[in-house]
Amino acid sequence: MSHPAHSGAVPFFFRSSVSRGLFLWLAFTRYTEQSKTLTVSDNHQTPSTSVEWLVLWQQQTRESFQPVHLPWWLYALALVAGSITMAGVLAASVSGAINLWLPLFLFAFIPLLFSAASLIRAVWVSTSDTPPPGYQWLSRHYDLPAFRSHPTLLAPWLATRWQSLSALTLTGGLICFMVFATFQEVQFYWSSTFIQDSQTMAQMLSWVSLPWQFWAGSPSVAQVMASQYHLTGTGFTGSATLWQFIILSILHYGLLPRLLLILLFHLQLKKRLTQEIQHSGILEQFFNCQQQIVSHQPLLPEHQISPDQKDSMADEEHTIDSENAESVSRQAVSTETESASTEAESKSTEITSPETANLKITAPEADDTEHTEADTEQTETVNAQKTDQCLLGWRLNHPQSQIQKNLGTGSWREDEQWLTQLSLSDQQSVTLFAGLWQTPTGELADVLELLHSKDVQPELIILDDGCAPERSDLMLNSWQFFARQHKIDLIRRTL
Amino acid sequence: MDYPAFAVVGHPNKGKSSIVSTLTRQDAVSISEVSGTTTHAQTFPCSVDGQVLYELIDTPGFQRPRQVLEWLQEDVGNASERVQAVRHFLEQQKAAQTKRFHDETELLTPIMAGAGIIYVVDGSLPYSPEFETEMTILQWTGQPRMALINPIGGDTFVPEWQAALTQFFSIVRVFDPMSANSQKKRTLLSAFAELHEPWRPAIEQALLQLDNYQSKQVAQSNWQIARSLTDMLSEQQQLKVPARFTESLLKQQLSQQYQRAMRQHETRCQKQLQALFSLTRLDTRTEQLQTDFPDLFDQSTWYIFGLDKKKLITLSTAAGAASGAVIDAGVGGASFMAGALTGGLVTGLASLAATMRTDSLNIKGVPVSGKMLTAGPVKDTAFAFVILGRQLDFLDAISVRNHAQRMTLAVNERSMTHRLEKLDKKQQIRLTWLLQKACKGLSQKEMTQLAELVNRLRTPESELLPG
Repeated sequence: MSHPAHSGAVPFFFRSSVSRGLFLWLAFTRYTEQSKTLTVSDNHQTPSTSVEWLVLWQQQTRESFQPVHLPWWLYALALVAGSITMAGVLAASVSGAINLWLPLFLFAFIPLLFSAASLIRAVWVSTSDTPPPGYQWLSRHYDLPAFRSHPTLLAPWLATRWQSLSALTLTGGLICFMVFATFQEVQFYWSSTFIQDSQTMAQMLSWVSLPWQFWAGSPSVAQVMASQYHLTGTGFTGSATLWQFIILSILHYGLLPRLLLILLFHLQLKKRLTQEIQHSGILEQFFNCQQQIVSHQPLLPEHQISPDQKDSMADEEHTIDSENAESVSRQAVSTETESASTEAESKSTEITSPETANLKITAPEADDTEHTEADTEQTETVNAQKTDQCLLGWRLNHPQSQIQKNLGTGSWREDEQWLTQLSLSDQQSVTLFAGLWQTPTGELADVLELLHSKDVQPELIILDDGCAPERSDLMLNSWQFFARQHKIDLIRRTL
Repeated sequence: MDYPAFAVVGHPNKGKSSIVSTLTRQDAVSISEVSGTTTHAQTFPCSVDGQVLYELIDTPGFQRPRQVLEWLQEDVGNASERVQAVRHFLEQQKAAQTKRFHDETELLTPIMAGAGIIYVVDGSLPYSPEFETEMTILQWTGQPRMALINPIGGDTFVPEWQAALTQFFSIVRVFDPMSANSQKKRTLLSAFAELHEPWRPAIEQALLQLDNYQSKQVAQSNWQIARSLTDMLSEQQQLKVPARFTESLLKQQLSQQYQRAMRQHETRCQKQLQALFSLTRLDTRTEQLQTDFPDLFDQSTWYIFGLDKKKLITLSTAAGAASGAVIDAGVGGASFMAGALTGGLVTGLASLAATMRTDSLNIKGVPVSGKMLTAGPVKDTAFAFVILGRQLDFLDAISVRNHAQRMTLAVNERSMTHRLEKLDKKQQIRLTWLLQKACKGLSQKEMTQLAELVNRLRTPESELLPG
């Protein structure tokens, strides 16, 4: 499951140092989890690459980002502690000589044991989400993120810090030793209950000096013999030449493992952080969030607008409550179905219940299947005074004979001319029929406007031919919205 | 601008915004069931890792196409003048006081600025000749164009539409933005490349990047589940039990606290997955996680300074050894570290004895230790599989969710047994072992293994979105 990494994102976080990169990443993670968005002034400045987005993020959040460092005095304390310990070792002399084992144990073998323990912890116990020693203290003082949330990243970071402190302690000891040895001769001896033979001891020291004996050698048997201390006090001179062996032991068993561990934890942190950047999906979440564009506020239908907007939009006289309208339209459908036989006789039915008083249910003789082409013939002057109702169609596929003009199918100019020349008597009403599946458009609004200019208040009948039954309610919503916008009565009729 | 742009145009309410939403993976594109609500053209980029691959422009629908065409026809003597006539129309409309042709101006402007045309029609409604006016206007722009038949409520009239559209458009495709799987989206994008030769390299590059991104999304979502699983399975909540306090009361409180933490983990993971799939506005409905386990609780001892028994003894021993080592140093090492050994032993044993009777430990009457009630981690492997199953169900549901869909996502639970059949015996054992080990945390390597197993347990898109 290997996938191409973000080309520039990983180097972006590692630009100055891995430690800084870690806290930059943690700050970035926190920012992304809060779903915050950056301010982009205009389209020309919109970043076009991942790195540009990250740079913009850093610019806008610079003030809130604080990289975490251990306090300087902690490093100084480590240095001083190492120096004092070495000074104590050098001061603990017998007959002006220092027991070889003391600096070896304190500055080489015990640190080596601790280094081994750190290594074991790093390799085998790396998954623990229990904070390592000192983390709680640091988190209180430096507002560190919760360890539990990022154990795999914070553990190597902290381990690097602790190893650095330990390395500084050893460096302090070495500096102290070199200073001491510069101004005073330091003699070393060795003594043991079990090892009396200098040959054996020389062999042991040879094993200890294995890492460097190829280029610096190991203490000779003569040196070892000369530095052996007997309680009887006979023949003891101490050996100043053993200092090289001690220094090299401290370097190889004390300092070098610490430095290697620092490197190991550094690489571990870098590897884990890289994996985290690539696998966590935080970057993708960030980019998705930044590039999400919210639609401009569109015109809202009534059921989606706030009461304030609603008040300003609605015309009290003609507003049709959308819910009521729907229930009424359904009611109208059932009424029409039940009284199909009497429909032909009735021209208009008023519903007088309070809920629906503003709706008129009309049942014109338009559900007949008969229709002729003559209805759509053009006439220079239209006189609709013959009947008390003028029936118009809007893009009807099969306009019926009673429809005087099926608008929207020819040229606009033709429709406009026809409507301009339309003359109506005072008593004559205009009914406009349209298919439910048609979408109300501006051209229909223009037709209504032309009728309004003639002081005609048309009513709109939506014919539901069952073409797309699963969507009829949605289509009706569009028509209701349109009717509200243009302040006309709307009736739905099922064919 | 070195990426192609396409204006999605058409009659009002034919699913233009839905197509824009799905093809740009933007769930903030406003989709209204009511026609005529989009009144401005708006550009939505499809981008990967901050880089824009192409743009789709959501436009208002044609409102007065016949009037516009008549306006255009007035000016034109022959076909060579048509493009200029459209430009002239736009210039005049921009200067005009009245905004009668506002919607047409909005939709034609990006086209005349160089955008390709994607003309959208509804395949569930019958074709009628009025649409020809719109198609003619688009033809007059001279821009590369294709038609998409969106079967919003069914495909009854698709053949009818195809017959009509092929006369105006060189490329006609059927595309349902609500149910299209990634293959269909890919096929459609490939068609964009055919539209105009200069756009081909950019579209092919976009396809490549989207494929890579999809693979990366899969890997990242697996990783997120693996991590969330580890977090949940290793979750622990603790409460200090004051002396002589009724434990049962605290157990109830702790149980609720634990359940809350588990649900927070789960919700966090789900939100991250949603953000990864760019579905931040999606409402989801899932069954609440229950963590009412009889063996949830464990009792240990708490100590002041937040140390546990083991740490306390270890530290005491180390402190004693250090004191002894000072004495050793004082005698020049003649004691052969006997001081350190003795010091360590004595203080270690003393602290061990002290921690045996925790109730008696106090400083000036203030207790420095007591009982600690711990909830979790749940070691029941069945519970681990329940959590895994829930996360996989959620991932399956959102990974195939198209951005145009706005309904609440109801997550269906699938049988974990069925999922496990996708693994061989060795992998099943490995998964079980990893889930058991997750209580103590997993290494990076183990997390990667778990993520790979999660990947195998996922339901393929072909099963979730067939056809």
